[in-house]
Amino acid sequence: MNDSEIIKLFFNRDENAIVKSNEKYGAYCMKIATNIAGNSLDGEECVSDAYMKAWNSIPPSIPTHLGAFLGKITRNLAINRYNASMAQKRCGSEFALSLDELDECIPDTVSDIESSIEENELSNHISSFLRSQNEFARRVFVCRYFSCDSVSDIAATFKCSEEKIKSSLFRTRKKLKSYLEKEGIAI
Amino acid sequence: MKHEKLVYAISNIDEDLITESHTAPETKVLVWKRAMAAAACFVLILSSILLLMPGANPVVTAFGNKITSDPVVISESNAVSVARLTSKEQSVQFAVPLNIELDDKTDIAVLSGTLRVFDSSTNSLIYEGSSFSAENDITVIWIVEADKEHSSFKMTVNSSDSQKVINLDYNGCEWAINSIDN
Repeated sequence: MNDSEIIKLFFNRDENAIVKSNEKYGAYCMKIATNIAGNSLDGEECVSDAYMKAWNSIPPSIPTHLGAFLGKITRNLAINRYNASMAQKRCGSEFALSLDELDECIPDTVSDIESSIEENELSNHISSFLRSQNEFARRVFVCRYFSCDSVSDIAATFKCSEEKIKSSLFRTRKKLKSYLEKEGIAI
Repeated sequence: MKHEKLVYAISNIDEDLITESHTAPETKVLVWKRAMAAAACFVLILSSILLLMPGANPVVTAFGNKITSDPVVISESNAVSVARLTSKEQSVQFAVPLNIELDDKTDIAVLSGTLRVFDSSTNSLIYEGSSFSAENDITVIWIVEADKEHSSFKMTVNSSDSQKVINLDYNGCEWAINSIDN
């Protein structure tokens, strides 16, 4: 079933929308949730909550990329759960590792709440930056920092060595940092 | 946290970038890869021809004999124990071990009785029930409950290019097994 047919089910308030979404994107969302939350139990709850949230937001929302739409919701719910787990100090996930790496992308400017950029604007800048990269670097970056896939999983997906993935990520982080600095963005 | 803002910003990057990341990557096809693909096609065609030839897999053997249309008699000389049916009231359990060599996905099913399926390479039990799909060589223990009135049993072994019916029959004094190709 294609995305527009699934979205039609959401609009008709047909609960098969959840079933079909899960058939098509369940594994993808589960991977994101587990990578971030650190365990499959929390991951499953995040994915269930994501479907509930999607059910409540479609309509009025009409996603153009249903997988990415569900992935985003799942990711945000999993991050919230991760933060709650961190408060109780019971979390160690691939997401935690990716956070340390992301520190390298933060421009060397003085952080100032008033002058710092809005999240949406920052998202637009990151999207523009990614579009300026080659396809491989762009996809690897999104797999690592959006889906929080492990380096070994990404290497397996792209059928290349872990070293190649690591060096691509390193270069892209460095380029993102200089891009943000060049754009005068403070975080 | 500084990176928190970055994390939430990454959550909201354009959806087409996210979709692109989770679709299967396209790999560059090099000349040697094309050559390998051509060789693989050749092997595939050759093996398809071989598979379509008579005697192709799945091959079912019982007690060291290939099961064909000619019945193989199961006796004390080739089986560990043979069920003797003495009355119609008293049923006995009879277990027949079969080795099935497979080349592709094959569905095995029985109408009556139970299949205990073992992986031929590891000898581990992988299934118990009445129907099973396998892709690798397996050993099946076909367990039937027989009495004088119920002494004929059928198993179907269906792959994409072969359909067999394995018959297990008791003729009043001995068991025999054979196969009919459909």
